[in-house]
Amino acid sequence: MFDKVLIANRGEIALRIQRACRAMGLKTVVIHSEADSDARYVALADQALCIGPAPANSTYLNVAAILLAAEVSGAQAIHPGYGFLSESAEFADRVARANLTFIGPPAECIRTMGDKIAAKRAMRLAGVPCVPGPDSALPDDPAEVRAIARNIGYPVIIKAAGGGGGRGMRIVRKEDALDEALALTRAEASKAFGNAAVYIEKFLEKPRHIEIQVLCDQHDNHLWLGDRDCSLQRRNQKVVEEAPAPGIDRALIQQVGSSCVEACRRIGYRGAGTFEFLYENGQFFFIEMNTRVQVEHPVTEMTTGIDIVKEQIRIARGEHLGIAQGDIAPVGHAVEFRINAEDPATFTPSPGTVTRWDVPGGIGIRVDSHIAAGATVPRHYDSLVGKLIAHGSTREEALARARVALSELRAEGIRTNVPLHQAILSDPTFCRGGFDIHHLEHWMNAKVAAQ
Amino acid sequence: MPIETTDIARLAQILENSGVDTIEIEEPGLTLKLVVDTRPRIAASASPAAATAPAADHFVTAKADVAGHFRAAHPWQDKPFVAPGQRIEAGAMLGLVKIGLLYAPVVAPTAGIVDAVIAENGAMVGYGTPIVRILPHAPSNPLN
Repeated sequence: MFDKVLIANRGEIALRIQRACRAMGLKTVVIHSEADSDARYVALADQALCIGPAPANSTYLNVAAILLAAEVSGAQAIHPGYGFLSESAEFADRVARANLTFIGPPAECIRTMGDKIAAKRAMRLAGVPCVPGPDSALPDDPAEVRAIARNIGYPVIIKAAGGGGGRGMRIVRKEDALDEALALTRAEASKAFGNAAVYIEKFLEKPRHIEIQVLCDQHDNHLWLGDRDCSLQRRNQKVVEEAPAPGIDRALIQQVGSSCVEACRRIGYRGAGTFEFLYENGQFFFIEMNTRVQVEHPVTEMTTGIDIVKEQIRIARGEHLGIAQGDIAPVGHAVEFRINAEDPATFTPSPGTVTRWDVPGGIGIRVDSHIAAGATVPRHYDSLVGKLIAHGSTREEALARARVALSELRAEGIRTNVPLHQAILSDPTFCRGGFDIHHLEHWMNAKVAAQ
Repeated sequence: MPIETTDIARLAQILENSGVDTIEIEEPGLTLKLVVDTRPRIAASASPAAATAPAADHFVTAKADVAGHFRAAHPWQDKPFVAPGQRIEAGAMLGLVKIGLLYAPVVAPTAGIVDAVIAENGAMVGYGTPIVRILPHAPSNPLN
Protein backbone atom coordinates (compact mmCIF):
# COMPACT_ATOMS: atom_id res chain seq x y z
CA MET A 1 0.00 0.00 0.00
CA PHE A 2 1.41 3.41 -0.93
CA ASP A 3 2.45 5.93 1.71
CA LYS A 4 4.26 8.45 -0.50
CA VAL A 5 2.36 10.44 -3.14
CA LEU A 6 3.89 12.40 -6.01
CA ILE A 7 1.80 15.47 -6.88
CA ALA A 8 2.05 16.02 -10.64
CA ASN A 9 0.49 19.47 -10.71
CA ARG A 10 0.98 23.05 -9.51
CA GLY A 11 -0.86 25.99 -7.97
CA GLU A 12 -3.82 25.75 -5.64
CA ILE A 13 -4.65 22.14 -6.52
CA ALA A 14 -1.09 20.99 -5.69
CA LEU A 15 -1.56 22.51 -2.22
CA ARG A 16 -5.09 21.02 -1.93
CA ILE A 17 -3.78 17.51 -2.69
CA GLN A 18 -0.82 18.01 -0.36
CA ARG A 19 -3.15 19.01 2.50
CA ALA A 20 -5.23 15.87 1.99
CA CYS A 21 -2.11 13.66 1.96
CA ARG A 22 -0.62 15.25 5.07
CA ALA A 23 -3.88 14.94 6.99
CA MET A 24 -3.86 11.22 6.10
CA GLY A 25 -0.25 10.83 7.29
CA LEU A 26 1.08 10.28 3.76
CA LYS A 27 4.39 11.72 2.59
CA THR A 28 4.32 14.11 -0.37
CA VAL A 29 6.71 14.59 -3.26
CA VAL A 30 6.21 17.75 -5.28
CA ILE A 31 7.57 18.10 -8.79
CA HIS A 32 7.84 21.63 -10.08
CA SER A 33 9.27 23.88 -12.76
CA GLU A 34 11.94 26.52 -12.16
CA ALA A 35 9.18 29.16 -12.28
CA ASP A 36 7.41 27.56 -9.29
CA SER A 37 10.49 26.96 -7.10
CA ASP A 38 9.34 29.46 -4.44
CA ALA A 39 5.76 28.14 -4.12
CA ARG A 40 4.36 27.39 -0.69
CA TYR A 41 3.56 23.72 -1.37
CA VAL A 42 7.15 23.20 -2.62
CA ALA A 43 8.46 24.33 0.77
CA LEU A 44 5.88 22.18 2.61
CA ALA A 45 6.67 18.98 0.69
CA ASP A 46 8.63 16.10 2.22
CA GLN A 47 10.60 16.11 -1.02
CA ALA A 48 10.56 18.65 -3.84
CA LEU A 49 12.15 18.07 -7.22
CA CYS A 50 12.66 20.69 -9.88
CA ILE A 51 12.24 18.78 -13.14
CA GLY A 52 12.67 21.48 -15.78
CA PRO A 53 12.37 25.05 -16.99
CA ALA A 54 9.09 27.00 -16.93
CA PRO A 55 7.23 25.74 -20.03
CA ALA A 56 4.60 23.11 -19.15
CA ASN A 57 5.82 20.87 -21.98
CA SER A 58 9.14 20.46 -20.17
CA THR A 59 7.59 19.86 -16.76
CA TYR A 60 3.90 19.35 -15.90
CA LEU A 61 3.25 17.70 -19.27
CA ASN A 62 6.57 15.82 -19.39
CA VAL A 63 5.61 12.20 -18.66
CA ALA A 64 9.19 10.86 -18.74
CA ALA A 65 10.49 13.50 -16.32
CA ILE A 66 7.58 12.89 -13.91
CA LEU A 67 8.09 9.10 -13.92
CA LEU A 68 11.85 9.54 -13.37
CA ALA A 69 11.09 11.85 -10.44
CA ALA A 70 8.81 9.17 -8.96
CA GLU A 71 11.66 6.65 -9.31
CA VAL A 72 14.20 8.98 -7.68
CA SER A 73 11.93 9.97 -4.80
CA GLY A 74 10.49 6.55 -4.12
CA ALA A 75 6.90 7.76 -4.50
CA GLN A 76 4.50 4.87 -5.13
CA ALA A 77 1.47 6.83 -6.31
CA ILE A 78 0.83 9.84 -8.56
CA HIS A 79 -2.02 12.33 -8.18
CA PRO A 80 -2.53 14.23 -11.46
CA GLY A 81 -4.85 16.98 -10.13
CA TYR A 82 -6.85 18.69 -12.90
CA GLY A 83 -5.70 19.91 -16.33
CA PHE A 84 -2.17 18.93 -17.52
CA LEU A 85 -2.00 15.08 -17.64
CA SER A 86 -5.10 14.37 -15.54
CA GLU A 87 -7.20 13.17 -18.48
CA SER A 88 -4.46 11.47 -20.47
CA ALA A 89 -5.20 7.74 -20.76
CA GLU A 90 -1.64 7.31 -22.07
CA PHE A 91 -0.23 8.83 -18.85
CA ALA A 92 -2.46 6.65 -16.65
CA ASP A 93 -1.22 3.60 -18.59
CA ARG A 94 2.44 4.56 -18.25
CA VAL A 95 2.05 5.19 -14.51
CA ALA A 96 0.57 1.70 -14.13
CA ARG A 97 3.31 0.14 -16.29
CA ALA A 98 5.90 1.74 -13.98
CA ASN A 99 4.23 -0.20 -11.12
CA LEU A 100 2.90 3.00 -9.58
CA THR A 101 -0.69 3.75 -8.53
CA PHE A 102 -2.52 6.33 -10.63
CA ILE A 103 -4.90 8.22 -8.33
CA GLY A 104 -7.78 8.32 -10.77
CA PRO A 105 -9.95 6.06 -12.90
CA PRO A 106 -8.69 3.14 -15.02
CA ALA A 107 -7.04 4.29 -18.28
CA GLU A 108 -9.81 2.55 -20.21
CA CYS A 109 -12.49 4.80 -18.62
CA ILE A 110 -10.45 7.93 -19.43
CA ARG A 111 -10.13 6.73 -23.03
CA THR A 112 -13.86 6.06 -23.43
CA MET A 113 -14.89 9.39 -21.90
CA GLY A 114 -12.22 11.28 -23.88
CA ASP A 115 -13.91 10.15 -27.10
CA LYS A 116 -17.14 12.16 -26.95
CA ILE A 117 -18.96 9.77 -29.33
CA ALA A 118 -18.01 6.67 -27.35
CA ALA A 119 -18.98 8.50 -24.15
CA LYS A 120 -22.40 9.40 -25.50
CA ARG A 121 -23.02 5.81 -26.58
CA ALA A 122 -22.05 4.53 -23.12
CA MET A 123 -24.37 7.08 -21.48
CA ARG A 124 -27.34 6.19 -23.70
CA LEU A 125 -26.87 2.52 -22.80
CA ALA A 126 -26.96 3.41 -19.10
CA GLY A 127 -30.12 5.46 -19.49
CA VAL A 128 -28.44 8.86 -19.00
CA PRO A 129 -30.38 11.54 -20.93
CA CYS A 130 -28.36 12.85 -23.91
CA VAL A 131 -28.65 15.72 -26.41
CA PRO A 132 -30.72 14.66 -29.48
CA GLY A 133 -28.45 13.41 -32.28
CA PRO A 134 -26.80 10.09 -33.25
CA ASP A 135 -24.13 8.55 -31.02
CA SER A 136 -21.89 7.82 -34.00
CA ALA A 137 -19.41 9.78 -36.09
CA LEU A 138 -20.84 11.62 -39.09
CA PRO A 139 -20.56 9.88 -42.47
CA ASP A 140 -18.30 11.36 -45.18
CA ASP A 141 -21.15 12.05 -47.62
CA PRO A 142 -22.44 15.64 -47.01
CA ALA A 143 -25.87 14.62 -48.38
CA GLU A 144 -26.25 12.02 -45.63
CA VAL A 145 -25.18 14.61 -43.03
CA ARG A 146 -27.82 17.04 -44.35
CA ALA A 147 -30.48 14.36 -43.88
CA ILE A 148 -29.33 13.72 -40.30
CA ALA A 149 -29.32 17.46 -39.49
CA ARG A 150 -32.81 17.91 -40.97
CA ASN A 151 -34.00 15.02 -38.84
CA ILE A 152 -32.64 16.64 -35.63
CA GLY A 153 -33.92 20.10 -36.61
CA TYR A 154 -31.91 23.34 -36.79
CA PRO A 155 -30.02 24.88 -35.08
CA VAL A 156 -27.48 22.07 -34.72
CA ILE A 157 -23.92 21.96 -33.39
CA ILE A 158 -21.03 20.05 -34.97
CA LYS A 159 -18.45 18.84 -32.45
CA ALA A 160 -15.06 17.14 -32.62
CA ALA A 161 -15.10 13.68 -31.02
CA GLY A 162 -11.73 14.42 -29.41
CA GLY A 163 -12.68 17.93 -28.26
CA GLY A 164 -14.26 19.10 -25.03
CA GLY A 165 -14.38 22.07 -22.69
CA GLY A 166 -15.90 24.22 -25.42
CA ARG A 167 -13.18 23.59 -28.00
CA GLY A 168 -13.68 22.19 -31.51
CA MET A 169 -17.34 23.01 -32.10
CA ARG A 170 -19.43 25.04 -34.54
CA ILE A 171 -23.09 26.08 -34.52
CA VAL A 172 -25.11 25.76 -37.75
CA ARG A 173 -28.45 27.58 -38.00
CA LYS A 174 -29.34 26.93 -41.65
CA GLU A 175 -28.83 24.06 -44.05
CA ASP A 176 -26.84 26.12 -46.58
CA ALA A 177 -24.11 26.72 -43.97
CA LEU A 178 -23.80 23.04 -43.07
CA ASP A 179 -21.26 21.82 -45.67
CA GLU A 180 -18.71 24.52 -44.93
CA ALA A 181 -19.05 24.19 -41.14
CA LEU A 182 -18.62 20.43 -41.44
CA ALA A 183 -15.42 20.74 -43.50
CA LEU A 184 -13.95 23.37 -41.16
CA THR A 185 -14.69 21.43 -37.95
CA ARG A 186 -13.25 18.23 -39.47
CA ALA A 187 -10.05 20.03 -40.49
CA GLU A 188 -9.69 21.62 -37.04
CA ALA A 189 -10.43 18.36 -35.28
CA SER A 190 -7.70 16.42 -37.05
CA LYS A 191 -5.24 19.25 -36.48
CA ALA A 192 -6.03 20.05 -32.82
CA PHE A 193 -7.07 16.65 -31.43
CA GLY A 194 -5.50 14.20 -33.92
CA ASN A 195 -8.95 12.72 -34.50
CA ALA A 196 -10.95 13.91 -37.52
CA ALA A 197 -14.19 12.28 -36.32
CA VAL A 198 -17.02 14.77 -35.76
CA TYR A 199 -20.61 14.31 -34.60
CA ILE A 200 -23.76 16.37 -34.62
CA GLU A 201 -26.25 17.36 -31.94
CA LYS A 202 -29.24 19.60 -31.42
CA PHE A 203 -28.00 23.07 -30.38
CA LEU A 204 -29.63 24.33 -27.20
CA GLU A 205 -30.15 28.10 -27.20
CA LYS A 206 -30.37 29.01 -23.52
CA PRO A 207 -29.20 26.10 -21.41
CA ARG A 208 -27.85 26.07 -17.88
CA HIS A 209 -24.71 24.07 -17.07
CA ILE A 210 -25.50 21.58 -14.32
CA GLU A 211 -23.17 18.78 -13.24
CA ILE A 212 -23.25 15.73 -10.98
CA GLN A 213 -20.31 14.69 -8.75
CA VAL A 214 -19.67 10.96 -8.39
CA LEU A 215 -17.33 8.83 -6.25
CA CYS A 216 -16.74 5.12 -6.89
CA ASP A 217 -14.51 2.66 -5.02
CA GLN A 218 -12.98 -0.64 -6.19
CA HIS A 219 -15.63 -2.66 -4.36
CA ASP A 220 -18.70 -1.86 -6.43
CA ASN A 221 -19.79 1.10 -4.30
CA HIS A 222 -20.95 4.00 -6.45
CA LEU A 223 -22.22 7.31 -5.06
CA TRP A 224 -23.39 10.63 -6.39
CA LEU A 225 -22.75 13.56 -4.07
CA GLY A 226 -25.20 16.09 -5.48
CA ASP A 227 -25.33 18.68 -8.21
CA ARG A 228 -23.52 21.92 -9.06
CA ASP A 229 -24.64 24.86 -11.18
CA CYS A 230 -21.71 26.25 -13.22
CA SER A 231 -23.69 28.45 -15.60
CA LEU A 232 -21.75 31.64 -14.91
CA GLN A 233 -19.14 31.35 -17.69
CA ARG A 234 -17.07 33.51 -19.98
CA ARG A 235 -15.82 31.92 -23.21
CA ASN A 236 -16.66 28.45 -21.85
CA GLN A 237 -14.57 29.13 -18.73
CA LYS A 238 -16.41 28.83 -15.44
CA VAL A 239 -16.25 31.94 -13.26
CA VAL A 240 -18.63 31.20 -10.37
CA GLU A 241 -20.03 27.80 -9.35
CA GLU A 242 -22.58 26.80 -6.74
CA ALA A 243 -24.25 23.83 -5.08
CA PRO A 244 -27.05 22.93 -5.22
CA ALA A 245 -28.49 24.28 -8.51
CA PRO A 246 -31.28 26.71 -7.59
CA GLY A 247 -34.85 26.19 -8.78
CA ILE A 248 -34.60 22.69 -10.25
CA ASP A 249 -37.03 19.93 -9.28
CA ARG A 250 -35.16 17.79 -6.72
CA ALA A 251 -36.94 14.61 -7.83
CA LEU A 252 -35.61 15.14 -11.38
CA ILE A 253 -32.05 15.64 -10.08
CA GLN A 254 -32.41 12.45 -8.00
CA GLN A 255 -33.32 10.60 -11.17
CA VAL A 256 -30.37 12.03 -13.13
CA GLY A 257 -27.99 11.33 -10.22
CA SER A 258 -29.13 7.70 -10.11
CA SER A 259 -28.59 7.33 -13.86
CA CYS A 260 -25.00 8.64 -13.43
CA VAL A 261 -24.38 6.02 -10.75
CA GLU A 262 -25.74 3.36 -13.11
CA ALA A 263 -23.39 4.61 -15.88
CA CYS A 264 -20.41 4.38 -13.48
CA ARG A 265 -21.35 0.79 -12.61
CA ARG A 266 -21.55 -0.18 -16.28
CA ILE A 267 -18.23 1.35 -17.35
CA GLY A 268 -16.38 0.14 -14.22
CA TYR A 269 -15.63 3.68 -13.11
CA ARG A 270 -13.33 4.30 -10.15
CA GLY A 271 -12.42 7.46 -8.25
CA ALA A 272 -13.96 10.91 -8.48
CA GLY A 273 -15.70 12.11 -11.62
CA THR A 274 -18.20 14.61 -12.93
CA PHE A 275 -21.06 14.22 -15.38
CA GLU A 276 -21.71 17.52 -17.15
CA PHE A 277 -25.20 18.32 -18.43
CA LEU A 278 -27.01 21.10 -20.21
CA TYR A 279 -30.39 21.84 -18.65
CA GLU A 280 -33.16 23.53 -20.62
CA ASN A 281 -36.96 23.54 -20.32
CA GLY A 282 -36.96 21.10 -17.41
CA GLN A 283 -34.77 18.52 -19.20
CA PHE A 284 -31.19 17.31 -18.69
CA PHE A 285 -28.85 16.53 -21.60
CA PHE A 286 -25.46 14.84 -21.03
CA ILE A 287 -22.53 16.63 -22.71
CA GLU A 288 -19.35 15.09 -21.29
CA MET A 289 -17.75 13.39 -18.32
CA ASN A 290 -14.63 14.73 -16.58
CA THR A 291 -12.60 11.82 -15.26
CA ARG A 292 -10.76 13.79 -12.55
CA VAL A 293 -11.27 16.13 -9.62
CA GLN A 294 -12.62 19.50 -10.73
CA VAL A 295 -11.73 23.06 -9.82
CA GLU A 296 -15.20 23.54 -8.31
CA HIS A 297 -15.18 20.39 -6.11
CA PRO A 298 -15.14 22.48 -2.88
CA VAL A 299 -18.79 23.59 -3.20
CA THR A 300 -19.82 19.94 -3.01
CA GLU A 301 -17.42 19.36 -0.11
CA MET A 302 -18.98 22.29 1.76
CA THR A 303 -22.56 21.07 1.33
CA THR A 304 -21.92 17.32 1.88
CA GLY A 305 -19.03 17.46 4.35
CA ILE A 306 -17.19 14.85 2.26
CA ASP A 307 -13.48 15.41 1.54
CA ILE A 308 -13.42 14.49 -2.16
CA VAL A 309 -9.61 14.53 -2.56
CA LYS A 310 -9.15 12.35 0.53
CA GLU A 311 -11.73 9.90 -0.83
CA GLN A 312 -9.87 9.80 -4.19
CA ILE A 313 -6.71 8.76 -2.34
CA ARG A 314 -8.52 6.25 -0.12
CA ILE A 315 -10.15 4.69 -3.19
CA ALA A 316 -6.76 4.41 -4.95
CA ARG A 317 -5.44 2.64 -1.82
CA GLY A 318 -8.19 0.07 -2.31
CA GLU A 319 -10.18 1.12 0.73
CA HIS A 320 -13.98 0.98 0.94
CA LEU A 321 -16.06 4.15 0.66
CA GLY A 322 -17.26 4.51 4.21
CA ILE A 323 -20.46 6.25 3.12
CA ALA A 324 -23.78 4.96 1.78
CA GLN A 325 -25.98 6.89 -0.63
CA GLY A 326 -28.59 7.31 2.11
CA ASP A 327 -26.03 9.02 4.40
CA ILE A 328 -25.48 11.87 1.96
CA ALA A 329 -27.64 14.77 3.08
CA PRO A 330 -26.45 18.08 1.62
CA VAL A 331 -26.69 21.01 4.04
CA GLY A 332 -27.17 24.63 2.99
CA HIS A 333 -25.71 26.33 -0.05
CA ALA A 334 -22.14 26.95 -1.23
CA VAL A 335 -20.76 29.32 -3.88
CA GLU A 336 -17.23 29.40 -5.29
CA PHE A 337 -15.58 32.45 -6.88
CA ARG A 338 -12.48 31.78 -8.98
CA ILE A 339 -9.86 34.41 -8.20
CA ASN A 340 -7.73 35.00 -11.29
CA ALA A 341 -4.64 37.18 -11.73
CA GLU A 342 -6.14 39.20 -14.56
CA ASP A 343 -7.57 42.59 -15.38
CA PRO A 344 -11.20 42.62 -14.15
CA ALA A 345 -12.38 44.45 -17.29
CA THR A 346 -10.16 43.26 -20.14
CA PHE A 347 -9.24 39.82 -18.73
CA THR A 348 -5.59 40.33 -19.75
CA PRO A 349 -3.42 38.08 -17.55
CA SER A 350 -1.59 39.97 -14.80
CA PRO A 351 1.43 37.93 -13.72
CA GLY A 352 3.98 39.32 -11.29
CA THR A 353 4.99 39.32 -7.66
CA VAL A 354 2.21 39.49 -5.07
CA THR A 355 3.26 42.17 -2.61
CA ARG A 356 0.25 41.91 -0.33
CA TRP A 357 -2.24 39.07 0.17
CA ASP A 358 -4.88 39.51 2.89
CA VAL A 359 -7.14 36.47 3.08
CA PRO A 360 -10.72 36.74 4.36
CA GLY A 361 -12.16 34.41 6.98
CA GLY A 362 -15.04 33.91 9.35
CA ILE A 363 -17.93 31.48 9.52
CA GLY A 364 -18.69 29.72 6.27
CA ILE A 365 -15.65 31.09 4.43
CA ARG A 366 -12.96 28.90 2.87
CA VAL A 367 -10.07 30.10 0.74
CA ASP A 368 -8.08 27.55 -1.27
CA SER A 369 -4.97 29.33 -2.49
CA HIS A 370 -1.24 28.70 -2.85
CA ILE A 371 -0.50 32.44 -2.72
CA ALA A 372 1.17 34.33 0.11
CA ALA A 373 2.73 37.80 0.15
CA GLY A 374 5.96 37.59 -1.83
CA ALA A 375 4.70 34.77 -4.05
CA THR A 376 5.18 34.93 -7.79
CA VAL A 377 2.42 34.39 -10.34
CA PRO A 378 4.35 33.07 -13.36
CA ARG A 379 3.16 34.07 -16.82
CA HIS A 380 3.54 30.53 -18.15
CA TYR A 381 0.43 28.94 -16.69
CA ASP A 382 -3.25 29.71 -16.20
CA SER A 383 -4.12 32.69 -14.05
CA LEU A 384 -6.03 30.97 -11.20
CA VAL A 385 -4.53 32.21 -7.92
CA GLY A 386 -7.19 30.97 -5.56
CA LYS A 387 -10.81 30.14 -4.89
CA LEU A 388 -13.07 31.80 -2.39
CA ILE A 389 -15.86 29.53 -1.23
CA ALA A 390 -18.78 30.81 0.87
CA HIS A 391 -21.20 28.48 2.62
CA GLY A 392 -24.47 29.42 4.32
CA SER A 393 -27.69 27.79 5.44
CA THR A 394 -29.39 29.44 2.46
CA ARG A 395 -28.18 30.82 -0.88
CA GLU A 396 -28.83 34.37 0.39
CA GLU A 397 -26.68 33.77 3.46
CA ALA A 398 -23.86 32.31 1.34
CA LEU A 399 -23.95 35.34 -0.99
CA ALA A 400 -23.99 37.77 1.96
CA ARG A 401 -20.92 36.07 3.45
CA ALA A 402 -19.22 36.13 0.03
CA ARG A 403 -19.76 39.91 -0.24
CA VAL A 404 -18.06 40.50 3.10
CA ALA A 405 -15.24 38.09 2.27
CA LEU A 406 -14.53 39.68 -1.12
CA SER A 407 -14.38 43.11 0.52
CA GLU A 408 -11.75 41.76 2.97
CA LEU A 409 -9.61 40.12 0.30
CA ARG A 410 -6.69 42.35 -0.66
CA ALA A 411 -4.21 41.50 -3.35
CA GLU A 412 -1.48 43.91 -4.42
CA GLY A 413 1.26 43.61 -7.00
CA ILE A 414 -1.06 41.79 -9.38
CA ARG A 415 -4.52 42.69 -10.61
CA THR A 416 -7.35 40.28 -9.84
CA ASN A 417 -10.94 39.76 -10.96
CA VAL A 418 -12.28 40.48 -7.44
CA PRO A 419 -14.02 43.70 -8.68
CA LEU A 420 -15.81 41.59 -11.32
CA HIS A 421 -17.07 39.21 -8.63
CA GLN A 422 -18.26 42.16 -6.55
CA ALA A 423 -20.17 43.54 -9.55
CA ILE A 424 -21.66 40.09 -10.23
CA LEU A 425 -22.89 39.96 -6.62
CA SER A 426 -24.86 43.16 -7.21
CA ASP A 427 -26.50 41.85 -10.39
CA PRO A 428 -30.19 41.05 -9.65
CA THR A 429 -30.26 38.17 -12.18
CA PHE A 430 -27.27 36.51 -10.52
CA CYS A 431 -28.78 37.04 -7.07
CA ARG A 432 -32.05 35.45 -8.20
CA GLY A 433 -30.20 32.40 -9.60
CA GLY A 434 -31.18 30.11 -12.45
CA PHE A 435 -29.59 32.15 -15.30
CA ASP A 436 -28.30 30.48 -18.49
CA ILE A 437 -24.68 30.02 -19.68
CA HIS A 438 -24.79 33.21 -21.81
CA HIS A 439 -25.88 35.47 -18.96
CA LEU A 440 -22.42 36.68 -17.88
CA GLU A 441 -21.36 37.66 -21.42
CA HIS A 442 -24.70 39.38 -22.14
CA TRP A 443 -24.53 41.23 -18.83
CA MET A 444 -20.93 42.37 -19.47
CA ASN A 445 -21.79 43.52 -23.01
CA ALA A 446 -24.78 45.48 -21.67
CA LYS A 447 -22.54 47.15 -19.08
CA VAL A 448 -20.00 48.16 -21.74
CA ALA A 449 -22.81 49.47 -24.00
CA ALA A 450 -24.26 51.52 -21.13
CA GLN A 451 -20.97 53.33 -20.53
CA MET B 1 1.99 52.12 -32.36
CA PRO B 2 4.32 49.13 -31.78
CA ILE B 3 6.70 49.40 -28.83
CA GLU B 4 10.38 49.24 -29.81
CA THR B 5 13.29 48.12 -27.65
CA THR B 6 14.56 51.70 -27.60
CA ASP B 7 11.19 52.83 -26.21
CA ILE B 8 11.54 50.32 -23.36
CA ALA B 9 14.99 51.66 -22.51
CA ARG B 10 13.62 55.21 -22.54
CA LEU B 11 10.63 54.26 -20.39
CA ALA B 12 12.91 52.55 -17.86
CA GLN B 13 15.02 55.71 -17.69
CA ILE B 14 11.92 57.86 -17.10
CA LEU B 15 10.69 55.50 -14.36
CA GLU B 16 14.04 55.54 -12.62
CA ASN B 17 14.35 59.33 -12.75
CA SER B 18 10.80 59.89 -11.50
CA GLY B 19 11.01 57.35 -8.65
CA VAL B 20 8.03 55.33 -9.96
CA ASP B 21 8.70 51.61 -9.62
CA THR B 22 6.11 50.01 -11.93
CA ILE B 23 4.36 50.84 -15.18
CA GLU B 24 1.98 48.73 -17.25
CA ILE B 25 1.07 49.54 -20.83
CA GLU B 26 -1.63 47.70 -22.71
CA GLU B 27 -2.34 47.70 -26.40
CA PRO B 28 -4.30 45.17 -28.44
CA GLY B 29 -2.27 41.96 -28.43
CA LEU B 30 0.46 43.40 -26.27
CA THR B 31 1.06 44.00 -22.57
CA LEU B 32 4.25 45.58 -21.27
CA LYS B 33 5.07 45.62 -17.56
CA LEU B 34 8.23 47.32 -16.34
CA VAL B 35 9.31 46.96 -12.72
CA VAL B 36 12.29 48.99 -11.51
CA ASP B 37 14.37 47.34 -8.81
CA THR B 38 14.56 50.12 -6.21
CA ARG B 39 16.70 48.21 -3.72
CA PRO B 40 19.99 49.94 -2.93
CA ARG B 41 22.73 48.82 -5.26
CA ILE B 42 26.11 47.56 -4.12
CA ALA B 43 28.88 48.60 -6.42
CA ALA B 44 30.78 45.51 -7.53
CA SER B 45 34.20 47.12 -6.97
CA ALA B 46 33.32 48.08 -3.39
CA SER B 47 32.56 44.55 -2.21
CA PRO B 48 35.45 42.83 -0.41
CA ALA B 49 34.75 39.51 -2.14
CA ALA B 50 35.25 41.16 -5.49
CA ALA B 51 38.65 42.40 -4.45
CA THR B 52 40.00 38.93 -3.68
CA ALA B 53 38.22 37.23 -6.60
CA PRO B 54 38.28 39.72 -9.44
CA ALA B 55 36.29 37.48 -11.78
CA ALA B 56 33.58 36.63 -9.22
CA ASP B 57 30.78 37.26 -11.66
CA HIS B 58 32.58 35.50 -14.47
CA PHE B 59 32.23 32.01 -13.03
CA VAL B 60 30.29 29.53 -15.10
CA THR B 61 28.19 26.98 -13.27
CA ALA B 62 27.57 23.47 -14.54
CA LYS B 63 24.00 22.52 -13.56
CA ALA B 64 22.06 19.29 -13.40
CA ASP B 65 19.46 18.95 -16.13
CA VAL B 66 17.51 16.12 -14.57
CA ALA B 67 16.32 15.25 -11.06
CA GLY B 68 18.21 12.48 -9.28
CA HIS B 69 21.06 11.69 -6.87
CA PHE B 70 24.42 13.31 -7.56
CA ARG B 71 27.45 11.05 -7.88
CA ALA B 72 30.85 12.78 -7.91
CA ALA B 73 32.62 9.58 -8.98
CA HIS B 74 32.01 6.74 -11.42
CA PRO B 75 30.19 3.89 -9.57
CA TRP B 76 33.24 1.61 -10.07
CA GLN B 77 35.77 4.13 -8.83
CA ASP B 78 36.46 6.10 -5.68
CA LYS B 79 38.23 9.04 -7.32
CA PRO B 80 35.83 11.84 -8.26
CA PHE B 81 35.61 12.95 -11.89
CA VAL B 82 37.03 16.39 -11.05
CA ALA B 83 38.67 18.21 -8.14
CA PRO B 84 39.19 21.95 -7.44
CA GLY B 85 42.10 23.41 -9.37
CA GLN B 86 41.79 20.88 -12.16
CA ARG B 87 41.96 22.13 -15.77
CA ILE B 88 39.05 20.87 -17.88
CA GLU B 89 37.92 21.06 -21.48
CA ALA B 90 34.40 22.01 -22.57
CA GLY B 91 32.21 18.88 -22.53
CA ALA B 92 34.32 17.15 -19.84
CA MET B 93 32.44 14.81 -17.52
CA LEU B 94 32.01 16.48 -14.10
CA GLY B 95 29.74 13.99 -12.39
CA LEU B 96 26.68 11.81 -12.77
CA VAL B 97 23.04 12.06 -11.76
CA LYS B 98 21.65 8.67 -10.79
CA ILE B 99 17.96 7.97 -11.49
CA GLY B 100 17.19 4.39 -10.54
CA LEU B 101 19.39 2.30 -12.84
CA LEU B 102 20.13 5.24 -15.12
CA TYR B 103 23.10 7.58 -14.94
CA ALA B 104 22.93 10.97 -16.67
CA PRO B 105 26.17 12.89 -17.17
CA VAL B 106 26.84 16.43 -15.96
CA VAL B 107 29.25 18.01 -18.46
CA ALA B 108 31.32 21.19 -18.44
CA PRO B 109 29.62 23.96 -20.41
CA THR B 110 33.00 25.64 -20.93
CA ALA B 111 36.74 25.00 -20.73
CA GLY B 112 38.48 26.32 -17.61
CA ILE B 113 39.59 25.51 -14.11
CA VAL B 114 37.35 23.80 -11.55
CA ASP B 115 36.78 26.28 -8.74
CA ALA B 116 34.53 24.13 -6.54
CA VAL B 117 32.31 21.06 -6.62
CA ILE B 118 29.17 22.56 -5.07
CA ALA B 119 26.87 19.55 -4.97
CA GLU B 120 27.41 17.03 -2.22
CA ASN B 121 28.04 13.44 -3.24
CA GLY B 122 24.78 11.47 -2.91
CA ALA B 123 22.58 14.55 -2.54
CA MET B 124 19.24 14.81 -4.28
CA VAL B 125 19.51 17.37 -7.09
CA GLY B 126 16.94 18.76 -9.50
CA TYR B 127 16.87 20.53 -12.83
CA GLY B 128 19.07 23.62 -12.52
CA THR B 129 20.83 22.61 -9.28
CA PRO B 130 24.42 24.00 -9.39
CA ILE B 131 26.93 21.12 -9.51
CA VAL B 132 30.38 22.53 -10.31
CA ARG B 133 31.69 26.11 -10.42
CA ILE B 134 34.20 26.76 -13.18
CA LEU B 135 36.55 29.67 -13.78
CA PRO B 136 36.55 29.79 -17.58
CA HIS B 137 39.59 30.48 -19.72
CA ALA B 138 39.58 34.06 -20.93
CA PRO B 139 38.10 35.01 -23.28
CA SER B 140 35.16 32.99 -22.02
CA ASN B 141 33.39 31.07 -24.72
CA PRO B 142 30.62 29.02 -23.09
CA LEU B 143 28.90 26.29 -25.06
CA ASN B 144 25.45 27.23 -23.81
